[in-house]
Amino acid sequence: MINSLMLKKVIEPKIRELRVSMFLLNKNMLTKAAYIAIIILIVIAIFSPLIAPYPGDIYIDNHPKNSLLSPSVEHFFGTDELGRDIFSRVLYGTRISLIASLSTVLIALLIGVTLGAIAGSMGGWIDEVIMRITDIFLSFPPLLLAITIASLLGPSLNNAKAALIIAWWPWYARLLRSQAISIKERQFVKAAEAIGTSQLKIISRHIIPNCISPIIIQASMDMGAVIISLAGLGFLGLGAQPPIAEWGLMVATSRNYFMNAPWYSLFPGFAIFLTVLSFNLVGDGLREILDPKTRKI
Amino acid sequence: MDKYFEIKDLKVNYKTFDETKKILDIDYIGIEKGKSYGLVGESSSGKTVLALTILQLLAIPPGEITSGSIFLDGENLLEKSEREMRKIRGKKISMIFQDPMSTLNPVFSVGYQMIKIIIKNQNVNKKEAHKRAVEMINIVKLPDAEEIMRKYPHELSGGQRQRIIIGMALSCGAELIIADEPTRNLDVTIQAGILKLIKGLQEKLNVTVLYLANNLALVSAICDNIGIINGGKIVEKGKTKEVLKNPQDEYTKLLMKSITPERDVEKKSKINLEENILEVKGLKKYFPVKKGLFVKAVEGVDLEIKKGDILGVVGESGCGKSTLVNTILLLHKPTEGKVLFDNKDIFAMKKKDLRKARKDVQIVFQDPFWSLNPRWLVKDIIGEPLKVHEKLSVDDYIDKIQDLLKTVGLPKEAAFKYPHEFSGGQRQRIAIARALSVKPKLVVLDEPTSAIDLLSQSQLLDLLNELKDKMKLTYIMISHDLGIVHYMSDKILVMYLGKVVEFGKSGEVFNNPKHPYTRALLNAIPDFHTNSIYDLATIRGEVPSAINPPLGCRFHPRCENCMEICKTVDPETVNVDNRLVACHLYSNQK
Repeated sequence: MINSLMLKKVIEPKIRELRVSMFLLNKNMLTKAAYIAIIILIVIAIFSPLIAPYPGDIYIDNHPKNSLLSPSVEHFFGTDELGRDIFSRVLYGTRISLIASLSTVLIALLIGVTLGAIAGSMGGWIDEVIMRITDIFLSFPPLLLAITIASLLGPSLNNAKAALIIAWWPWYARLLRSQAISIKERQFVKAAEAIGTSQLKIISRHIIPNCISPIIIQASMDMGAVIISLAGLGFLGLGAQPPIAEWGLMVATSRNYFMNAPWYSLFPGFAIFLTVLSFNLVGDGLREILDPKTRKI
Repeated sequence: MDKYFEIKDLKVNYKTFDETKKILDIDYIGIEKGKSYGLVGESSSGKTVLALTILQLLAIPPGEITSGSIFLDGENLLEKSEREMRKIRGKKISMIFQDPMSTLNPVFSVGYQMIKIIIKNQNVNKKEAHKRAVEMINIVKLPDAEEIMRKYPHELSGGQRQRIIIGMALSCGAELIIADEPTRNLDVTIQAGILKLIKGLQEKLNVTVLYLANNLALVSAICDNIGIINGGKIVEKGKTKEVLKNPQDEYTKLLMKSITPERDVEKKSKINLEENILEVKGLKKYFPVKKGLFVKAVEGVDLEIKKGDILGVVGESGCGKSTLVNTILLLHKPTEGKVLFDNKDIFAMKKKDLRKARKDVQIVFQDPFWSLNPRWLVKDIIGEPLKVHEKLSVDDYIDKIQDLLKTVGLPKEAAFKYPHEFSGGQRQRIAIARALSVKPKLVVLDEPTSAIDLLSQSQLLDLLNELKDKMKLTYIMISHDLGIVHYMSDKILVMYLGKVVEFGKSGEVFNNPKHPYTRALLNAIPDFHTNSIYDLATIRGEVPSAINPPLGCRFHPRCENCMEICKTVDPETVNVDNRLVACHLYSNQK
């Protein structure tokens, strides 16, 4: 009895909060367009094998007779050098890019947040050790570091992801640490200490939840950056390997045919551009929702 | 009859996600030139919104001015364009905010900021501007103007910063000053100084003052006319003396009652056992600054509290009272000394015993806006100590939380809300419920009412008294307001710069203070009996740095009764009329 009542009472304010968030999202036309775009991208990612007019082309089918056809009713985006339908491949590329960037950002986030929170809240030599390691990673340009690691590990999509995770987590660690340092001076943390709450609980339940907003905003923008970097690694041959329908790889291959078949580069490139732009815009919209200081409501 | 400043039929709404709220509905406010008008009301009664509306700084949306006019010197401010307003703001109208730190730019020196403003507003060269800035600092009664000019905002105390801001307001030639709770975060002694300053300037320079505050006594001490605002409406207005003598509105009466709480001596607890719950012996706490340099925050404090007593600890900010308590609570490690809780030395305890002991000592912090985790539901906040110290089933847990809410006078439903949905007073009740959830023996109240309105303050104090008897608690209450401490406590400990200067029974200390510092603290609080603002005591200067405290008696540079011996010899604590005083005035009465 009490439990069901409790559930309702807990959920009600959250629903209201959700409605306020939706309202804020809807208010800004650009953000609204961006998040609708992202929802569409997610739908495409899930159903791409079903939507794609030539599902076989996603993998290894090839039709050399049809190579490099210009866009037409049969092939909306034209075909590539092996006669594969570019439209189908761009659609399927959405799934690859979204899954790859999401998993990369999430794992980097997990590592960065944990280490940053520990460093920020414990202080002392633990802080010193963690942050100096972070500094070492931060002293390399992230893409250069990723290229080095990816080439050491050998070219494959998973290795490219691993390389990006290694290049990315220190940024989250540093961001969270600086937040944690200011949060741990707040009185509610002192109150928890005076109560006798364990250090682990203070970090996981008091400090991290109060530091997380800027991290989430950063992460949503990083989604775009990771997609670009993955495409970049793919372009350099250090990421996904043929015949995977990855955007960066497609742009890379299309280079050779650019003069004859500009559409080949155009459509995968445009897909990257649109996805990255949408994630950046949604990041800005999230900032308004998560940071009450910029809220105008 | 035209007044210098008039507000007519002003209505302001606030659009939120759920509804449109009416926040201001003022039919008329008029102030004559050179007079002061006090607007008294609780927080969220619309005072700050009014100030922002006058300056046209109100954020629109969500704000919305639906009707009305504001006349300054015959001109309607609401019809001015942004460009015209920019000339009026700062030049004709100046605002003094609650928090002086955020008003000054921390990266420039005070002098630089003042000179810039003067050059901009008065069209003079740099040298002349410098001269005028120095003059202005002298007018706001800060010593050593040249030295102050070179300092950065963080090097000044809150009171000094507030004076600089007043000086800046005046140096732009402001004719109307809007003061929005300018003394809220300041000590009582500093507050008296600022009030005197504002009053003096108003009389001398013929400045018009609109004073916004929640403390009726404070406003009545400096304002010619007052208005009482409740829920955006003026419920009562008139000459200060007349309103106070014969209040008409229920709300005004309520506000007046909240300032002079009648203490019922009979009601004072009778559960006093002659057993000490806490003994502190020779406690010292130094914070290292650099090698060999220490902030000596607490310097040898002895005290004892009997079970069921309330001990009040009083002193200005920086006197070490919070450090003392944090050390007792084991939030800091002490440099030296012993603390016996229930006859056990807490600094010698093992980790496991310590956790158990923590259950018996709980704290309620000063600012309920910072002491509750904003991301937690109230049920989790209150239940945090329960989760650490007891294992309960979900149903028992919720039952217990709702009981606790009832005890502190909040509705059951509060359990499922977030802290930001409550007012300051209610939040403090949540903090109290959290402290009481594990049935502690000793509760430390660190300025529990200084961040909340007077009206909720007196209710909260009553609640604390009631809970103390019901749950057989002992309190340590820290405050800079001697009045509140007297109202609550059985014994008072007055601290100055890390040392105890006076320690005795509450009534005796309050009615017949011995130490000059205690006397000054006591006379600094304005009440309805304050005839003139100039009767209030101020202590000259600022609390000196605890890194390098003055030789001899630490209070001597600011003491009115300073003698030769005070400058060299640290006074011993002597027993005078049943209490302990550390002052050379009484050293021959050994």
